[in-house]
Amino acid sequence: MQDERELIQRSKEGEGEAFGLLYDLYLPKIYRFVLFKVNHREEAEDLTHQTFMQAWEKIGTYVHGDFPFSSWLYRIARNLVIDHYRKSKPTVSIETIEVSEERVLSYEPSNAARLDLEQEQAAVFRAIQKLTPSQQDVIIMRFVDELSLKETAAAIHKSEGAVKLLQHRALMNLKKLLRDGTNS
Amino acid sequence: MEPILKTIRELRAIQPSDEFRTRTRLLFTTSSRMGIFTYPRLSFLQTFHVAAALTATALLVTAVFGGSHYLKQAFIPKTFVGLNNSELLTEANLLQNDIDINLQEADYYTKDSRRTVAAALQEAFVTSPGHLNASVIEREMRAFTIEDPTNEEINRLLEQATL
Repeated sequence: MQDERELIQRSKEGEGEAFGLLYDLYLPKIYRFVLFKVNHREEAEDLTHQTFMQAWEKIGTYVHGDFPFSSWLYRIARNLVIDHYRKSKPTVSIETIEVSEERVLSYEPSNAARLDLEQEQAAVFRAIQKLTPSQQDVIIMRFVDELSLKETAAAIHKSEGAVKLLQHRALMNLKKLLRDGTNS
Repeated sequence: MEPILKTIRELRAIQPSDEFRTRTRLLFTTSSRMGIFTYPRLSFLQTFHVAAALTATALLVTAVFGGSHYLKQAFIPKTFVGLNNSELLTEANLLQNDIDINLQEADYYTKDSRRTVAAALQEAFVTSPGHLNASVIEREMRAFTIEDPTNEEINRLLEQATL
């Protein structure tokens, strides 16, 4: 954590290499979060790029004591995703989602077991996309990216109690969606 | 619930492509934030140069606008003569007098020419044209009258034709 503070401070002083290290640390998480939200690889890359560009531009305004740096990055990404949906009304069909899943989960399975796991992942991925935006945020941040309750609460502008409640409801809905999906 | 959470965690395997990672990272590492997003800090000398440039610009603007104002004042009088009401009235009266005089002259010459023409016509009707000699006319009339028996020339020609 001390290292992160130091990197933030050096980034504030304009050192690109320091911000590059922060970028290396948070890029996968932010990218995954955006990808889950927009379900499109190119759009996810574009929004992730914008997230880090804004962070680089505004890092001078970031105050470490207010909330974690990760939450600050998620906030930027979340706002960009909201703006993205405001500007372009998405018309996503089921076929498009399935094609997108193929593209999203395009890493090479190494064996049959991994292939089975990928099918499960695709089912979970599909189920997460059917949750409400807030429930999606909580599931991705808490379980995919392993943010703490405090970090998640700061990122989505809610109390820790509200996050717990959202998390509980999201898991229940997810369980139901997967069960229904398996039965159908 | 635990199998679901385990599967969700497996989704962490989703990663951005190396090409994207490298391309975006280069933007930060090859540039200084101060150079891109913030105004550069100016040294004292640079500040002096900027101030000097601004002063020179201000002087130039003052010279241009002040000069044009001065030129206007120098070549264009503050009050135009033509805009003085009394002067305008005097000039208008003078013009009107000239116009009246010219009209009177035109009227006079019109009347005079009428009188001259009328006199000439009267003279023509009352007295016969003086330039015509009555004896000459009479002689010519006699010479060209066919029925005139005293026209010997015609008689002679007729006789020659019948013989």
